[in-house]
Amino acid sequence: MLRKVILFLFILMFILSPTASAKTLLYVIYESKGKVSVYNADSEKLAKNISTGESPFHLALLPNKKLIAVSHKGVGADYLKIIDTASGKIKMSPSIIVGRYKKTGEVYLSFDNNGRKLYAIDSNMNYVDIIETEKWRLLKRVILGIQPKKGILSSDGSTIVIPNLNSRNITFLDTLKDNISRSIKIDGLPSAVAFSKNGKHLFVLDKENSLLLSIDLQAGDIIGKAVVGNEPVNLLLSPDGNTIYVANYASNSLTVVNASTMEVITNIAVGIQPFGMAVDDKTGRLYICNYGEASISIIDTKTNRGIRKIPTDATPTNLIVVRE
Amino acid sequence: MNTIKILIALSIITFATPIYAKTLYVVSQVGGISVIDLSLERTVRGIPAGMDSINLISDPSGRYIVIGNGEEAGKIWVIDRTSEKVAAKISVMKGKTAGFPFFVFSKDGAKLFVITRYSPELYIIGVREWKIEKTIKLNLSPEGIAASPDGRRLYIINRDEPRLVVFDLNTEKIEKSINLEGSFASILSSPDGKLLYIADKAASKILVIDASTFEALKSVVTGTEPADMAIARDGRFLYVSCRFSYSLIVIDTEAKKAISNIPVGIHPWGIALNSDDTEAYVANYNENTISIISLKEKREIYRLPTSVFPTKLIYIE
Repeated sequence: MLRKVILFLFILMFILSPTASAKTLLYVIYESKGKVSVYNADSEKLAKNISTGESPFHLALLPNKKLIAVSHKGVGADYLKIIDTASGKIKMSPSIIVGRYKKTGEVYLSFDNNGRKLYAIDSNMNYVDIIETEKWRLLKRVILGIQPKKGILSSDGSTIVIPNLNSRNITFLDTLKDNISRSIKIDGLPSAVAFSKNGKHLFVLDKENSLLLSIDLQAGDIIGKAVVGNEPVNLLLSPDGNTIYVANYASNSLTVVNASTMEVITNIAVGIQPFGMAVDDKTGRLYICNYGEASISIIDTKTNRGIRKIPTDATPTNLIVVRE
Repeated sequence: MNTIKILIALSIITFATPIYAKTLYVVSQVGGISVIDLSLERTVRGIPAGMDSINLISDPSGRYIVIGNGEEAGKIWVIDRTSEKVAAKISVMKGKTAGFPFFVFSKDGAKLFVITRYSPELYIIGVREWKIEKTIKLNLSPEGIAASPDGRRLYIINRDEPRLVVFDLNTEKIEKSINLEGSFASILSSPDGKLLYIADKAASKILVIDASTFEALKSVVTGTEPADMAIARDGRFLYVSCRFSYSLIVIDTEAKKAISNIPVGIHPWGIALNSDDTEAYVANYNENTISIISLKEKREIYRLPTSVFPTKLIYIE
């Protein structure tokens, strides 16, 4: 009898385990509500609310998927909160504020490839804080250009590339030495960057001239341009790397561009003020936070058509996709 | 001696000053035409033209302005620009009360062609007496009209069963009907008559069509929901207002590619170009403003307030 029960349990586990492990979650930041909401990506249902304190802004997943770092903005807001993904609770609030201006705004987070360091780019203070993730202590502070935006890690993990909006340049930070290794001038306002799949090109958004630029990283020259919408603020590559998605904050649209030819494929209307974006590598679904209207737009990157818009209870800022 | 000098100076000033300054005539859905003096950068007066007017056009000489009118059911008004008085009222809509007509003048300015969104007739109006010369039943659901520069054809884009209708002005019959996919907002002919541009608001694209074979050569991606189009006199650049992305797109017609995105106001609609194609003017429908755009710098240089819900506008120097 016991054997039968054990066998039955084994079979049950076998049946259940693949579906359980394939669960995909969306972690969405709601700045005005001081929380991160967790949704089941398949059912689009709310699974959990995590209270994070005043004005959370950006979030990043540790490569081992165990922790999520959340940055904050606003008066008196904590600098960092660390969410434990297993329990869905705040695990700690590292106290690493060193002379941080109280009213400071956007802080963008990125981990290095092995998760040993967190790069926190402060857009108002114009520096990046490099934080070790064992005891969450500040290792170094590197001064960047004026109004730096989100930093992007190269696939080999050797470099973080940071656009400095009002300095009109792009900073390359060597993650081994943690110092600036290169700078590229942009004739415009660089607002976001992304690497091409092969790592040879850098895609740059120019907010001033409504352009997407393709830069050859070896020569540092602009080799392609595509016209996008008003105030492009964020970009993302499709999982296969063939297509670029640009969020046009002041055009309420997404421009879809062929990454190799730089031809504009289409323009998709989304919600008001699209900002944060994340793509589910497995389903090819692209999620866009509509900061101006309390909804998340879903785009199918296989067909480049809108799937639907999920209404949310507050205006979302940023989100990440976490496959468990 | 001095008085003579002053007199000469005065006469030079008088003659050097044009009778009409650089002027925009803006039609608003809520109340008539606003006259904007571009050198003063403000609205200088209004011309009453009824409620619910959406479209306006000037004849090639610039003397008359034709406006669709909803207040007086089914009529278009012709306004003499010298007196700013109504010169004629022409009944074109047979009892329908929608001010949504589409106009085009023949190149010599002798004829005005009118179709409306809700009436199945094409009206050919003689300009000399502002009288309907012919009413031709077409049974279409038009969304726009253009004339070939050689004066031989009219092009009409159709809403139901989306298609391009080619109307022969000699035989006064539909010459051809080309099925297309999309939901159309406007149509324009290139100045040389070789190409047709059709704005597809559903796909956010401009279809480029060969006007001899009627084959689609390319579609150029614009912003979301392209509305109105204007083309430079040499045909080199096409300007497209994009209603939902709040922008004016500049298309290089040789490369058939968008080369610039110029942010404007909320829900841009009508576009006008100045006489040397150095400036564009865009009516921002939901913002009650006009964007003034430098086409050299490819950016908006200032924005003027205007009356409520501006739709279309014309530039006259």
